[in-house]
Amino acid sequence: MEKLLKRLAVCIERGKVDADSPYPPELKGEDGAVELTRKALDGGCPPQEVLRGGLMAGMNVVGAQFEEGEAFIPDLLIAARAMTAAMELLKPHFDSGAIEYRGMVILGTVAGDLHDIGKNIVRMVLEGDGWEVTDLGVDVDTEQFLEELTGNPGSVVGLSALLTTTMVNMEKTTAAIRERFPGTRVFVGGAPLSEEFSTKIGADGFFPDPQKFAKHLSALPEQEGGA
Amino acid sequence: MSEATRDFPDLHRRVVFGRAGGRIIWQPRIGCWFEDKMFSGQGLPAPYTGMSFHEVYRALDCSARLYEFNSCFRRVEHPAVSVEWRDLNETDVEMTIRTPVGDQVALRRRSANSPHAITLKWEVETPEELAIATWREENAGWEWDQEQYDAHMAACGDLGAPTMFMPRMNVQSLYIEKMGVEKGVYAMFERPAEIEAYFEALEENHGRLIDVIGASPIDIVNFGENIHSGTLSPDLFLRYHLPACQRRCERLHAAGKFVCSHWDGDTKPLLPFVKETGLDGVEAITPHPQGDVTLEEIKGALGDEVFLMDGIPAIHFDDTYPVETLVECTERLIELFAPKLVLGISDEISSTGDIERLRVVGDIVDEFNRSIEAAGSKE
Repeated sequence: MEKLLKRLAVCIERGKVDADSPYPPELKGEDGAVELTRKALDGGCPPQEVLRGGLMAGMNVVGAQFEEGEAFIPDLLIAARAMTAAMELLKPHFDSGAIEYRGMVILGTVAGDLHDIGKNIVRMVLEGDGWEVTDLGVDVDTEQFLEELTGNPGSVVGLSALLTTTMVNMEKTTAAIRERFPGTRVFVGGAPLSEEFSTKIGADGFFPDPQKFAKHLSALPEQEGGA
Repeated sequence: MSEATRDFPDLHRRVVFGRAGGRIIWQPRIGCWFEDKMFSGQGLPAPYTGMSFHEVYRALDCSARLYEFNSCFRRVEHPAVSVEWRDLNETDVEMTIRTPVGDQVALRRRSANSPHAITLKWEVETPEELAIATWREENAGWEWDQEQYDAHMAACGDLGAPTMFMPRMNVQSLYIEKMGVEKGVYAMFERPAEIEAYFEALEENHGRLIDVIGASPIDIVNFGENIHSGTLSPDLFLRYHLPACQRRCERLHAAGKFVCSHWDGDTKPLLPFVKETGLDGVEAITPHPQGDVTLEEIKGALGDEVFLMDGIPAIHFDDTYPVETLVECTERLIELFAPKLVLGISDEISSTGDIERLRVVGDIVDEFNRSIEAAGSKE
C-alpha cells in the first residue's frame, strides 16, 4: 500500500489526473490520481491515510517547491487539479465522518477586485489539506462575508486583494467581521499586501503563498479553527 | 526650466532614443486614479475638479505616456465575422462572435464595485472555440487610421510622443484575453499542438500589424503584456514568450522603433533573461516593498543597456508611507538608472494615492535635469 500511495503522491505532484490524461507525457497511459485513489480505497487503505499519505504528500512537494521559488502557479494548478479530481472519491468519506475536516475556511476576493487566481490556488491547497472551503468568489461585499459567517460561526476567513485600491475594502470587511464576530480569525493575502498592512487593519496575519497559510492554519489550536 | 525640458514630445523622443544629453523624463500614469474617482462618482479633488484626463496632466506639469494612439491601429476581421452583444439581465452581458467556422461566446458580469466586468465564461474554453480563435487570427488584418491620429495629436500631442501598445503574445494572450489563467494552463499542458497552432496564427497576425506600425509615425511601441512570473513561469517564458519577443523586436528595430514591454507582476525569476529579449526598455517592474525585487537587482538585470520605465512603487504615493520614502526612492532610481530612465509609477497611482506627491517627484526630476543642463552649458 505504501508503494501505491507513493505513486499517488507522484501523480499529484506531476499533475496526472487519470489514465486518459496526456500530461505528463512520460506517464502517458499509466494510472493517474483517480485510479490510484480508487485502488487504495478498494484495497482497504483508510481514507484518512489516502488523503495524508497520497494527496497531501504530493501537494506538499509542489507547495514546498513553490515556497522556494522552484515551482510556479502553472505547476500548482496542474497538481491541484489532479488532487481535486482524486478528492471527489474521498468526499463520501468526509460526508460519512470517516475523515473529518480540519475546519471551515471562508475565502473571497474583496469588493471591487476581480482577481481570482491567487484565491483559487489557496482554495485548492486548503481543500487538499483537509479543510472545508467556502469560496465566495470575486468582488465580494462585506455583507456576503458576514452572511456566510452567520451560517458558519467559528470559520476562519481569508481575504484576497491584488489592487492597492481595493485594500481599503479589505480593511472595511475586517473591521465589520471584528465587530459582528469577535474572535474570528481573519487572514489576508495578495501581492501588494504586507505583514505591516495586516497589522494596521487588524487582521490576524498575511501570507505570501498558500503553503505558508495552510501550515499556519494547521498549527492553530483546534478551538481557534485549527486541527 | 528650459524650453527644451518642457517640450514633452521632443524630450520623450530624445530620452528614449538617447539624444537627451543625459536628461530624463517624468511620466506618471494616473489612469486608475482618474477612472476610479469618476466611476465612484466622487469626482476629482480640488484643484482638479471638472478637469479632463489630459488637463490634469497639464495642471501637474508632467508628461504622459500616450497609449491613446492605440486606436490608430484598427483590427479588421474577416468580412464574414460579426459580433453581437446581448444583455441577459441587469448585470450579465453575452458576447457572440459569429464566424463561418463557428461561434464563440463570452459572458461578462458588470459590477457595482468596479469599472471592470467579471468574466463568467471566456471566449475560448473548448477545443472547438480554440480552433475558431485560430481561424480568426489567420484571417484578420490591420489598418492605419489617420483621422484618429490627427484627433489624438490635437487633443494630447503636447504631453508626450505618440505611443502604442501591441496586443499580447502567445501565453499572455491566452491568459488575459482568451481563456483565463487556469484554463490556459490546462490547455497548454494537455493540447500543446492546438495551442501552438493558435500561437503561430497570432504571431503571423501581429506580423501584419508590425507592417502597419513600421509605416506609421508612431516610434514608441510597447508590448502590453502584463507579465507576472508567477503565471508566466521561466519554463513557459523560455519556451514561448522569449523567442516570439525576439522576433518582434528584430522587426520593429528594423523599422526604427523604440520597443519596450510591460512587466507589472513579480519579475525576479525572469529578470536574468531581459537582455536576451531584444527589448530597449521594460515598463512597470515593481520594486520592494510592493514587488519582489530590489532596485539594485533591477539594475543588475537591465545593466546600462536597457531602459527602466517607471520604477516607483505605487504604494509610495499612499499615506501608508511618508513622503521622505518617496523622495529617497526617486533619488535612488535616478542615481541608478539615469539616463536610461523614463521615470514613472509601477504600475499606476491608485485612487487612494495622494496626487500632489506627483509634484514632489516632478520637482526632483526638474532639479536633476537642471543640473545636467548646467553641466552641459559649462562644457
